[in-house]
Amino acid sequence: MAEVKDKSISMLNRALDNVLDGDLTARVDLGLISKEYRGIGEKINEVVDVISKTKISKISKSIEFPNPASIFTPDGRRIDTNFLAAERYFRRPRDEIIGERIEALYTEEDAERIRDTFEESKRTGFSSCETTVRRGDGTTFPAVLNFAPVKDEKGSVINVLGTASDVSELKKKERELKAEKEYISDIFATMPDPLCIVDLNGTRTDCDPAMEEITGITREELIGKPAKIVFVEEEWAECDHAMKEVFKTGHATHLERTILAKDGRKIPVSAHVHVRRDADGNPIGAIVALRDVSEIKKREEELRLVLNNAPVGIMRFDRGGTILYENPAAKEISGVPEEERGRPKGIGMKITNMPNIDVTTSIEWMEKISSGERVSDRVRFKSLYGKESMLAAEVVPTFDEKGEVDGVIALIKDVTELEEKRREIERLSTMVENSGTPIALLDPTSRWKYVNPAFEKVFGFKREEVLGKLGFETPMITGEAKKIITEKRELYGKDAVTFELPLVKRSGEIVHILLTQTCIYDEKGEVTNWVGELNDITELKKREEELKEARDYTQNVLDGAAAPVLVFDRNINLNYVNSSFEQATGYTKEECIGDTMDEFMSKILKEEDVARMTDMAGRIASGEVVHSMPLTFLTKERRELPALLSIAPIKDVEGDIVGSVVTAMDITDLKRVEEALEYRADFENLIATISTNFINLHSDEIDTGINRALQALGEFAGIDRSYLFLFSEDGTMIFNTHEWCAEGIEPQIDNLQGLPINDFPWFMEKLNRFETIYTPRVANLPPEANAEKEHLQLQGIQSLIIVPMVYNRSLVGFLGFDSVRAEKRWAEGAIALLGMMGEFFANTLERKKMEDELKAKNTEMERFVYTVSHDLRSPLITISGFAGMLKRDIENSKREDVETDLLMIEDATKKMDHLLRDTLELSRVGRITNPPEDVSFKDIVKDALDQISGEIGSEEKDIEISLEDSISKSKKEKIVHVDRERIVEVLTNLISNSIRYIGDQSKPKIEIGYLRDENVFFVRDNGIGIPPDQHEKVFDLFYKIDKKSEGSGAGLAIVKRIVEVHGGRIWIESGGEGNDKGSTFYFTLPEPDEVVKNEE
Amino acid sequence: MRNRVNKPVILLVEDDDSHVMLVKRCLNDTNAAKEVCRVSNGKDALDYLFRRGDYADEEEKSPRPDLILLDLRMPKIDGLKVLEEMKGSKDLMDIPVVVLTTSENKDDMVRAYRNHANSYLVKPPDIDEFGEMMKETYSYWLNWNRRPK
Repeated sequence: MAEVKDKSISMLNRALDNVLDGDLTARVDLGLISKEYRGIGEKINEVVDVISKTKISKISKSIEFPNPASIFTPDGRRIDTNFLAAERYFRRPRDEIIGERIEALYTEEDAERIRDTFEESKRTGFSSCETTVRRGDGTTFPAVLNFAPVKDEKGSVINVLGTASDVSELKKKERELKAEKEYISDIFATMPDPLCIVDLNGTRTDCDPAMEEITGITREELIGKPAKIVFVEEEWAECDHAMKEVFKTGHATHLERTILAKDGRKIPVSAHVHVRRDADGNPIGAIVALRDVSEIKKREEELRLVLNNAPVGIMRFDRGGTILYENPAAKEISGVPEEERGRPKGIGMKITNMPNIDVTTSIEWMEKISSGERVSDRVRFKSLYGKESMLAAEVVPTFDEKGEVDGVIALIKDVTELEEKRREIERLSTMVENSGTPIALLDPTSRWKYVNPAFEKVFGFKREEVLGKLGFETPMITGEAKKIITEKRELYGKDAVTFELPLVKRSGEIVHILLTQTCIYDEKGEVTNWVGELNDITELKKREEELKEARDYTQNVLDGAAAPVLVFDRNINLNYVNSSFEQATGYTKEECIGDTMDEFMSKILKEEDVARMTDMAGRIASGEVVHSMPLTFLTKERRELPALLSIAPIKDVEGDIVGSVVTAMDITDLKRVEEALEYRADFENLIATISTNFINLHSDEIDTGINRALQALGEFAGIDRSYLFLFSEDGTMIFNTHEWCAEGIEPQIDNLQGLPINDFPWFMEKLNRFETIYTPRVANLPPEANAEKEHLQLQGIQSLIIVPMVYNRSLVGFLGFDSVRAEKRWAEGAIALLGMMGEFFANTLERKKMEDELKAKNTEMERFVYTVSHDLRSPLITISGFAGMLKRDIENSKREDVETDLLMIEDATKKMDHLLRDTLELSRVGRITNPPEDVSFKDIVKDALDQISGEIGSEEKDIEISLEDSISKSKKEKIVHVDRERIVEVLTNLISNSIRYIGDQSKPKIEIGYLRDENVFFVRDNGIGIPPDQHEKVFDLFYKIDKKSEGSGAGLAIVKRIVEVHGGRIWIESGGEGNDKGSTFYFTLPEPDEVVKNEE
Repeated sequence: MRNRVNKPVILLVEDDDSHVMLVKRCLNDTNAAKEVCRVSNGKDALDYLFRRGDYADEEEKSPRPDLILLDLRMPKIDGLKVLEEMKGSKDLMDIPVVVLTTSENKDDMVRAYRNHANSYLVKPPDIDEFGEMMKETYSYWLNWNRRPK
């Protein structure tokens, strides 16, 4: 408790101290003080309140504020004021102004404002206003009034404290500042260059009208935006950087920028950035001054264009000879290669140090530069780039502002060519002056301008007599000359015109002049001069005339020559060809003469020959003599013309070669004969080869051989198809058996099988006469060959040859050679050779046929031998078997069996004998023949039946044997040309065969006859028949269908043999096996005439 | 003969009568057959074996043979064809066939064996060899046919 007490006491003490110190804020917080002291605290607070109400009016007396200060009642009446203020500022006694209303001290016009400000202070706690103080002595001064209310603890205003300060000095300064500001802003506003103020962030804070004008953006829009945005966007980064640099270093800077105006124009400007600083020297922003340099840029560009495109080299040197500038032309002239001209090669270098200019040149240049005078000269220039030239240099000094030479501008021009031309002209005029040929120069109006001394000498006229006169007025001109010149004038042009002109000398003598007239043009293409060269050809003319006569004579002779003759001149150009050449080659003289050797050769020779004869010109030039060199010319129609060439040089009196004469002998005919011979030889060779091959061919290979031969012939002859046809056995049809086709040619072989020969009457007629049919043009076949024509045209054949194939005087087939794609003409010899070929083919085929037959015979023979050996062995085996048995029986004393054994052996022996006899008989059929005779078939049948009658009887079979109607009733007897006995044998064999196999028949019957109109004979029975698989076998020797049947089985084999020996065939037709089926044996026999033919 | 009861019935296929006589003598002498039936060509042989044609329904006249003696060269149908057909038949393939021929041709022999001939003998046979062969062939086939199946 004591503590609280103490704390309260100390608080009260502190408050009292504060009060005593005059601190009126020192009120006691009653809540913190213990109850017993709370009364004291209330008292203290009361005191404080009283004091604070009263004390303020007193305190001001004791404090001397430097400025006037007053205390006012809340309604604005002055309670007190400090003495100093009253005296010094208001210049009125203090007491006088106390009690006055506040506005009394100020001018009347300010009174209301002051009152308002006063009232405002009561509401807001503070207010201020400017006003003018009216002093006691009548003067005024500007002042600022400040009011602050004094409030009691409840917040009510009890007093208002007011102070005034004299601002007359401030006002003065302000006025001055304002004047200055206006001045600056005037400047700012009237500046033609855009300006803007930028703060440290680079934001534009102000700008001038020029800025608005150049950008087209209003000031309002510009201010407050980053300064960079008026520039083109690509420069922004750079702007930021530059700005930063400027603020960092503080240095003003100069920049090139481009403004992007609102309308899209880009305006180049130069920007000057100046840093603004505050009073302490810290940067606060920058002033950016821009200048529109587009005009300057344009000028610069123009200047650059001028300099870059100036045809003269322009260089600027300083006085020391250092290159400050050189334009491209200068670089070009000094020989800097094009690819290096873009670089500032020589700039900054002293001319004497330039590595690409030699010392002499650089010294010469240095002299010109340092002289400081205007110099115009030519210098030899030799650059290290290897260019040597003559330069015309114009060196012009330039002056600085002080009027002193600060360098030179050098204009240079490469005058190498001009210089050369000048020299050339000098040379030419010397030549003209000294020329032996009269030369004259006329102006475009035909007025004589110049003649050379030779002119004077030749014509005998002095220059003065001629010069200045018109062309036709001069004394040399004859009437004829006038006429000629008038005619020729039309030809005057760029090219020189040359013509002959008779002129007259002073002596009256006529001179033959060869005038060469040339025009000289200026650069505009206008004639400036006519130059005439007047060669005296009087003498030449005379010679020429003589020469022409001689030449005409020679040409007449050569033209008459039968062989083509060509003459080459000294330069190996073609000088002459004769008529015979023209006729042979089709080229006219005009087309050839004047040709160089190369031109001529490419015209007249094949390409490969041109390539081969490149040395020809050289050989001719060297005077080589060539005899009969074979060469093929090409005529104008590109036909080949084989020739033999002879070349001989032509020499002049001194023996120098002045040309050469070439004679060509046309050997076309010779060649043709040669080629024909060669062709024939080749053809013969081919045929010989084919023939040899044929002879050596194995019969299996003959088909291949024929095909190969057809191909070889076809390919050799260059035809499209070769083929072979054979006749059918009966000769009524043709078969295409072999064919070769060239590539791309449709084979016909499949379409040409079994064609009736009647379809080709015309061909057959010729072929039957063994004629070769040569048809070079199918379309031209005669009307009687229409059938053939149609057939051939159907296959698209244009030409063909048909060669008969004849063997043994009979037509076996034919060879054919077709041309499909083009017509083909065959040489006579070739046709004959093909005829031979037909024979070869026929022989070969016949040989094949014979060989095949032989082979068949061999096979047959083998089989025969096999059969016979088997059949002959059979009884032998029986014999040997029973012989063995016999031996055993004897050993075993089996007598009863001995007899049987012997019987068996005997039987077998007999059988064996039979077989051997038959075999012998069969072989005899072939070997022993009676001469054939013409005999009636009827007679043969009669003989046979006579022989067989006994047999029929013995068989006791009632068999009816009859002659068929064809024999019995025929008026004309059928005559055959045969070995009579043998054919009787055939019939007896066949008849007894029929009897043997007649079987069980109620009406056994055998018929003999022949087919009407054919040479086929038959024996027919109605016996047991023969199964088809036995039709061939029955003719085998010893073959018996039934072993039990009688006979050895050799009969039919013998029959077949006899028929075949007669050149006929035998075959069987049968209804098959079984009673009543019957069999017919057919066979052919030779007719009388045929037999006769064969005998021959 | 060791066992008379077991002598075979033989089918002799032979076109040549004198050869038939010879073979019959051999069979007789060697006592190798119980009975000999003869046909004179291949066609008849097949008819006999397959019981067709003339031999249809004639079982008594043409008993099933136990062994066949077969000539090769015969009219109509030859021995090789007979072999091929009967050996191709399930019923007949078990009958042993002895080819008896004049042919010493190697081809014939090979072809005969290829067509399953059981033996090949060239005419005229040696009687002793013939006898032994017949016995051996028959007893072998007899045993073969009696084997449990």
